Amino acid sequence: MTGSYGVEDRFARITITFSVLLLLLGGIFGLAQVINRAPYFELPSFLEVSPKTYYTFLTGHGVFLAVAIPIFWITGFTAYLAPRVLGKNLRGGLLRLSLLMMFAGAIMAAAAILSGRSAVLYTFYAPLKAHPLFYLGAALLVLGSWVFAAAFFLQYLEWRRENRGRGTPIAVYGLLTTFIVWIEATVPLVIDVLKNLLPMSLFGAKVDALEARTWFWFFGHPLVYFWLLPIVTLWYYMIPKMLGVRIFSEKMARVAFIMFIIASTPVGLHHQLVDPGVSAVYKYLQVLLTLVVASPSLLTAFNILATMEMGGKARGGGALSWILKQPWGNPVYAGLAVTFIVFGIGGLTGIINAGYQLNLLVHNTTWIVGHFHMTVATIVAVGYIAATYSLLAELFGKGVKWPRLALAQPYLWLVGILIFSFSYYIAGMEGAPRRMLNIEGAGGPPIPSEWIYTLQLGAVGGIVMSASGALAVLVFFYSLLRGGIAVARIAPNPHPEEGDPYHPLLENWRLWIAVAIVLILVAYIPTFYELYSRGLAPVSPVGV
Amino acid sequence: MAIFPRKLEEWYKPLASVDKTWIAASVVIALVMATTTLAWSFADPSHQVPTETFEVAPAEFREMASSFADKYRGSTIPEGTEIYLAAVQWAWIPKELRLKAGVTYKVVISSGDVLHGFSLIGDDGTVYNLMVMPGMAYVMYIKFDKPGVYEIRCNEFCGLGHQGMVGRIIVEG
Ligand code: HEM
Ligand SMILES: [Cu+2]
Ligand SMILES: [Cu+2]
Repeated sequence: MTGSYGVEDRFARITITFSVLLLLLGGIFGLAQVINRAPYFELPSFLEVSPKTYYTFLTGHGVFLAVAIPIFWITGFTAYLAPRVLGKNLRGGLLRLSLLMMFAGAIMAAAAILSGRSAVLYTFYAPLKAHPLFYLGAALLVLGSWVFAAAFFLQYLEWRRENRGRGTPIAVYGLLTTFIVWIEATVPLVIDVLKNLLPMSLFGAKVDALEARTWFWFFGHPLVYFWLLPIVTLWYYMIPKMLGVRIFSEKMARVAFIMFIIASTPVGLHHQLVDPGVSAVYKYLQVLLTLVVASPSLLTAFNILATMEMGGKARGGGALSWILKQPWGNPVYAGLAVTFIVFGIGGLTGIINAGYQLNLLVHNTTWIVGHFHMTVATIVAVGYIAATYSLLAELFGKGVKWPRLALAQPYLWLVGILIFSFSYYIAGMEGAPRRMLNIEGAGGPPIPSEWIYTLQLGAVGGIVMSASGALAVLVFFYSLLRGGIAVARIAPNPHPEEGDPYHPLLENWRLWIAVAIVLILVAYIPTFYELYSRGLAPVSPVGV
Repeated sequence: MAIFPRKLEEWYKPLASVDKTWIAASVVIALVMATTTLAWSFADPSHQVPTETFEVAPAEFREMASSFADKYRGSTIPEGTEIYLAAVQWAWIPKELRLKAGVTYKVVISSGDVLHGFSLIGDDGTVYNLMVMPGMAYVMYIKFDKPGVYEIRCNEFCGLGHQGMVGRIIVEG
């Protein structure tokens, strides 16, 4: 399986380096947010921001960290790994086109945000309107990622034709799932942008706020699985590899991926449980489907834990001491394991958000902020970064300069995120709203006393998280300059001992995509029928 | 040859029984949670999302809320009055509602411009959050058992003045 992957590697080096730069920028915004949110923090004046700056930062924080990084990092990672697993090149022309589109889009959107004219946050709910470049940039970025997805799908189909009867290797299996979910997610986004948001921003066209919001969450939830699935892939692929065992159950891993394909999209209404104008029956239907998507996560949790146990025992661990026998001293393993643990806790709190009644309590509070920093933020700042450490040697030809600092980074994040998220969970249950700077400082009424210490403690956690993010950025760039040692190997072992299990049903992508489409239609046709048959209520766009 | 697995039978083996157990267990967990949340809807009708809604133009609703605010400024709202509460950039209209404890009021909430959030927060630990949508109104029936002061904070981002958007409900004995 040796070949030459110069074009793929150049693509990956560019997008992954860019992701780390975005982490730096977005992380600085995050630090500014968390301290400006904390009541009575005596800040040096250069750290204190105006509302306009705060919401501009918050827009950048969401868009750069949660939309741009995943797109750039995941395409880069796939461009590195898929060719090596399948032994086939990606089409160079498509890669170049995709890179061009994604960068053009990202630069347009970044300009629209950083110029201060698009502080609409990363959810850009109509009828608040941003500069047209914001929507155009976002659309171009997404379309660029579709071009990459096309290159990947074509490569895979070619491989399949040449390897009939072979099971798809787990790494590619997971990445394919990732991109299938990404297409499911972004079709509604593109519809929303073309139908509602661009006409609103360019010509002042009226929009129906509920309809636009429904399209947004039709995109917004599967987006969550796009963030997550490459990390699930890495858990299934790297953890057994580093422990020297096989996945506890290869087939269950694939069953979990299939469940993600069929159930990750038709659940967006769980973000709209307290919206007026959507029937309670349809909301409940999607709550049900949401709990179904909890199953593949539970399956993954079982399977990975069992794999860790097997690996720990193979390394001489006993009934419980297998836990200690994990390679905790390896930065890549530590990063993946920390992501696994934190995501587990964050996932459980997600089930609470989805409870129809509990949502009334936590909707739009800092509870939600706690939830998605345990999930997506950890995936990005620890999971993607862990894989990036190993790519420093394989892809960049450099290695890690300070392996001990690289090792400290995920643990530091673990400490920070536990403090941050639990403080924000508690503040949220006391009603503290999200998306708001220090209410006191901005001349608002006095704030409830319960929010004070929780948000202050949250700031302490946030500062520790920022330190961890800074370490990641520092290790990355210093390693690029100086070079260092290889910490783990992501590329497949040259002589796999055993092939991948083949199960016709689990290789039948067409079938599962069809099931996914049917479920999406079942979940969303009633909602859109309700919206359109009632007649839309378009309202005029309003600036920030 | 490396491409083929050592154990050929592994290819076509059906899912092992432990796999099936896990899959079943995770599906059962999901179903139990689903049933719980549905059962809760029937068991505790007091803490629910309102289901009564209607369409209304933002400008018109703002008008309705403004005249309501003018009429009852500073006075306690009598039993049986239909209350209009509008969220606009960046205030609640009316800013303050004086209600009587133990009385059920019909409250209509909507927006005069963009999306807002209705977050009712009380000293007694009350937290109740709803979306406020331009073009669509919620009808809810509210009863406060005890006198006290409740804050209404906007908790959906609605523009640069979002953080200052606070109103009050004063419940009198
Ligand atoms: C460096 C450490 C970080 C800190 C201190 C931090 C802090 C914060 C804070 C305080 C908020 C809430 C602001 C508010 O609601 O007023 C926030 C929002 C958010 N953060 Fe982070 N964050 C960090 C890293 C990340 C990362 C790595 C991601 C990645 C994907 C992320 C994704 C988000 C998203 C999506 C939001 C919601 C934005 C919105 O409400 O529009 N954060 N962050
Ligand atoms: Cu969701
Ligand atoms: Cu607001």
